[in-house]
Amino acid sequence: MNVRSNDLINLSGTKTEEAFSKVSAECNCFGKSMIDKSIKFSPLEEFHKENSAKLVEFAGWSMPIQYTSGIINEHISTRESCGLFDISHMGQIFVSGNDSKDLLEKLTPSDIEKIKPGKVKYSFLLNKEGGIIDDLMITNEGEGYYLVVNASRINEGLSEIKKTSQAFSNISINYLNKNGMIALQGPNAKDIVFEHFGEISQKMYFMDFSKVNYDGNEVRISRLGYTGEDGFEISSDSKTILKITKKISKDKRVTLCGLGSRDTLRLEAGLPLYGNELNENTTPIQADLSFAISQSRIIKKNFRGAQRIMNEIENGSELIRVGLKPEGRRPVRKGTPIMKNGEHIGEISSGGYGPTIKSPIAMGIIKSEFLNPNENLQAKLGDNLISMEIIQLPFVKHNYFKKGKI
Amino acid sequence: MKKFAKTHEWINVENGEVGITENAIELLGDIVFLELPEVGKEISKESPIAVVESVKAASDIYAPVSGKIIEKNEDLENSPEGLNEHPNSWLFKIEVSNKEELDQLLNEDQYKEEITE
Repeated sequence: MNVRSNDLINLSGTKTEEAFSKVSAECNCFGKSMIDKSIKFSPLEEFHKENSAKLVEFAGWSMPIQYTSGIINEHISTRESCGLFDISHMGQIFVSGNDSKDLLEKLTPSDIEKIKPGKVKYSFLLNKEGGIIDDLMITNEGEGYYLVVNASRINEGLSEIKKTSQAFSNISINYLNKNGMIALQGPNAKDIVFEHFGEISQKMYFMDFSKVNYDGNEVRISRLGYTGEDGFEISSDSKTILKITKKISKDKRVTLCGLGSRDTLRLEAGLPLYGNELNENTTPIQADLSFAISQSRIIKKNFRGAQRIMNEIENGSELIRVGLKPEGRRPVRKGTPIMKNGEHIGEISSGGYGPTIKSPIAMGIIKSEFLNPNENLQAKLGDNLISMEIIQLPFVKHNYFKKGKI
Repeated sequence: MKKFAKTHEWINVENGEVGITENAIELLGDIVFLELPEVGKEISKESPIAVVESVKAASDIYAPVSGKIIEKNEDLENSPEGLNEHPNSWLFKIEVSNKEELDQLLNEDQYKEEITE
């Protein structure tokens, strides 16, 4: 037996190829540790070991890919109750100073002015051609902006932010690399957060942010996530996050979840992953994320790469991200060619098995001319062609707690 | 008696049943797809003849010895998650064409040594 492709460990952005070959090689020597010395550790490393996590290297971090119950069980437990994920590998940056709004307007296509204190917005760091350097969450904390970026892109993102900030005089950029972060996701997350952090969480809707005091320590709580479910991301200093994790993990409603189920959950939710659906050549239009470009910025055409992106808004982009449902039971994986009548028209960007819908699912980047509802395409797996249908994303409907819901 | 390939397949030398080791199944995690060789197919040692996919990974299964496929486990092919529940299940049976190839495989202790190295 030989492991050919390993999507989950292939997740990382910048070092995808390296990570892939490395882990692939390690997988063939069953039982060896995948952890080398230069690696970064989450404040929950020991906690993971105590809970028999399988640890892997991801974007330079030692992180759990799964615990003992397995990815499918973790996935289903999140959809039905509550999953607890260590996401301490995510980059956390605090930007403050009078010019921070202008700096973020320069870096992103978002109307930063419009993000009210206590609100979070999904956005992108763009390069001059409108390509995505990273996708991120921007929170207005009142006294500054709190950014959460991808682990695999922290170096590129941070250096772009710093470089761009040189044009401004009143800016302070703080990489909060001592912080840890967890996500609680699923229908029971709200009750659990309420029980541990009090009524503040009950006043929060999707994409709301609060700072709370937990035993004298400052904790950041955002109502959002990467699973399609209602849920929260909770950040604090390493000691506090460990304390919170230990306490919450004792709750019977909570299942510890690794990066494996985080990936199957986000795939079912149709959410893009940097390094798979997003890269420096991809614009937000190609990635089918135009919702995240603010209308006011479109009218002003004053963001990086506006020329290319405006052209794509008006005339369509050459390539487009789509949801795909392969026929049968065989998963199609990242990198698999997508064909139509013998013509190579794109590639699978993420693919695997959807435990909620109990079938293979995928996302792909294809030539836009083939974007027709229910269009039938094929995945080329060796000599086999697997039929795939274009499906409107998400595969599993989002359960975000938005205003107007009870 | 079972003999083992370094590539984590086992073969029962008495009846030609072939499976993949518990160790391999543990590493793969939740199995979601199996493609087994057709009955009657002639196979040669160390060639890829079957596919197993878990949520995490896609893997080829190699023929531990040369011969002919005389039966496949269709129940398992139809519900591959059964392999996680019963990791000792056989996948297909080989009519071994050259018994000497069996001698070249590892015994259980040698295989265990191989995976703990």
